Amino acid sequence: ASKAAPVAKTAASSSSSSSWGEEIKNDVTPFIFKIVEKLELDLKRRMFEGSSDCAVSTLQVLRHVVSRGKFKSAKDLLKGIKVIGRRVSDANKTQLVVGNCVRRVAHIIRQTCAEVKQDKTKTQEGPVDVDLSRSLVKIMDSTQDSSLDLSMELSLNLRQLIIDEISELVEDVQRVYSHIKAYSVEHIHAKDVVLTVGYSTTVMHFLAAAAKLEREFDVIVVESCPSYDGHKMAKELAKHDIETTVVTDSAVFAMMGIVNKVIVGAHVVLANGALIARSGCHMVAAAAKHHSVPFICVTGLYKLCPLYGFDQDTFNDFKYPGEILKFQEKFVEKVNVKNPGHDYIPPQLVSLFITNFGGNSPSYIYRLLTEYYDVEDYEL
Amino acid sequence: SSMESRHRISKFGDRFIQDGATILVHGHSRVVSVLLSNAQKKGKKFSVIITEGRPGYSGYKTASELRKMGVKCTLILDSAVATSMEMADMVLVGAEGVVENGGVINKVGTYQVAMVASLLHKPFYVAAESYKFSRLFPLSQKDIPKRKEEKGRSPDSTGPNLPKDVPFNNPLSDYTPPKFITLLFTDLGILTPSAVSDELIKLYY
Repeated sequence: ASKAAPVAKTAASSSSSSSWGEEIKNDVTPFIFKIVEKLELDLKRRMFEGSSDCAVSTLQVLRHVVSRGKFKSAKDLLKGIKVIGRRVSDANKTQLVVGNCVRRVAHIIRQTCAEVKQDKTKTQEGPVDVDLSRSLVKIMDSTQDSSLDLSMELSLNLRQLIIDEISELVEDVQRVYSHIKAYSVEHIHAKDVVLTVGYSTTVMHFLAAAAKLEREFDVIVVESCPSYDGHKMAKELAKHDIETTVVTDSAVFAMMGIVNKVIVGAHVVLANGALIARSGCHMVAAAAKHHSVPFICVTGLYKLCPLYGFDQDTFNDFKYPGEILKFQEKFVEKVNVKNPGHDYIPPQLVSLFITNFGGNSPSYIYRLLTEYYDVEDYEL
Repeated sequence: SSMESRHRISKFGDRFIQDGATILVHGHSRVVSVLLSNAQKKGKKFSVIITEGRPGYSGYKTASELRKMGVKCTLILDSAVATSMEMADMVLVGAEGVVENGGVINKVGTYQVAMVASLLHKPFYVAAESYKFSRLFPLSQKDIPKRKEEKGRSPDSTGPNLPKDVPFNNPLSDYTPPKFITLLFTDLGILTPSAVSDELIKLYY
């Protein structure tokens, strides 16, 4: 605990005070404070390679909170999760996967409580619909009691159920690639020319699975300046015996004429069906729209976020400008260099989202939200 | 209750009002006024362009309400929407009814504003409480329920004299199709137009 104190002070740059755990101090052990602060620091320092590592770490921390926290009732547990979740997701506002995981855990807690309660009162007629979302039916029909009483005791059984659900979620995140691979057979055919941007593990697995089926297709990889990830992607694809071509970012529009489909990975998928992807993807999407080429995004469902975005700045951050223009150059003081990390791609430009649970059009994404998140948790 | 619904809607819609934004509003809507005044109370700095809202001059009511809250307003003619749209960052209107396909029925002129917003790539938001959802599915402007005041002579007695044999077509409401609507702010949450039909199906299954 003494080691945690100085860390907490330096981490308190946001408006919340350094004693952030005040409201849950009685229920949370010092060990939990320590692991949460470590996660927060890792997020601030951008120590995570990709979103899935981030998601898995967050879920593991939350699982510890559930298993070791001294919460008496499910309500206290939910409050604890949300306080911790707010803190952790504020650490890195562009890494929205963290917030998603917190919301999933909150949803799991509510669902599990509702199911346990339903089991207890099983003498009632028929299967009661465990639908906690607010809807017109609930407003019009006052006979249905939609409020969930969360003050039930957090028994060992309930705790274990919640922990099991979280573990299942962790496994889902870790096995995203193997689930998505199954869909590649439907989307990639022989003699297809696929365009992809930079390096994405999900896209790599997706294309590799199609290659295993011995389908002859070509891939054009956009090198994606300034990181030049495209080179790494091309090498990986070549290892799977895929015919690969690397092109510069400026050649995208010219090459789009011969492309059959564009497949990119996602950073975050927003509630209105918009996509936040690496910088450069919006340009590719606009070129694809112009040439009527389908723009497909492959992503895990843990990247689905219930927030809405509408412009390039909302969930964006800037990366190191030295990647574009080295600091040693003579004219560097006279030039303003901007290196945005991500692009916001509006839903009209995306044709299809392929997730580990199938393909969905952007206008359908809102439906998936109600299955995985509760409206009360949208604003952490 | 409807006040509670409006406060919920303000909470959801608050994110979309950014500092320095210019919002175009059509006529008068209680939901929109509550949303904007709550945003103002939170300390957001924005300005509003209000259309006159003829023939009822409802825009003047909105202007006085917002001015009392300290919001910077500008009034424009209904016909000046197209020229003023480039200065606006977004459009926010209320609704008299939300129909099954996610379209809205609102004061006449909303359809025009939506078309212009769509052409100039400005987001068009509708704020409506959930009790306004209805089971209509209009296919054209003729399919919306009409009201008695619409048949008649010139609505403006201060205007020039109209020859007796020239009718004055004065629809009070129009129907805005869902393709022009970006998002709806309701007390059930923020919905895309396609989500509205889902909600209605759940209600009427």
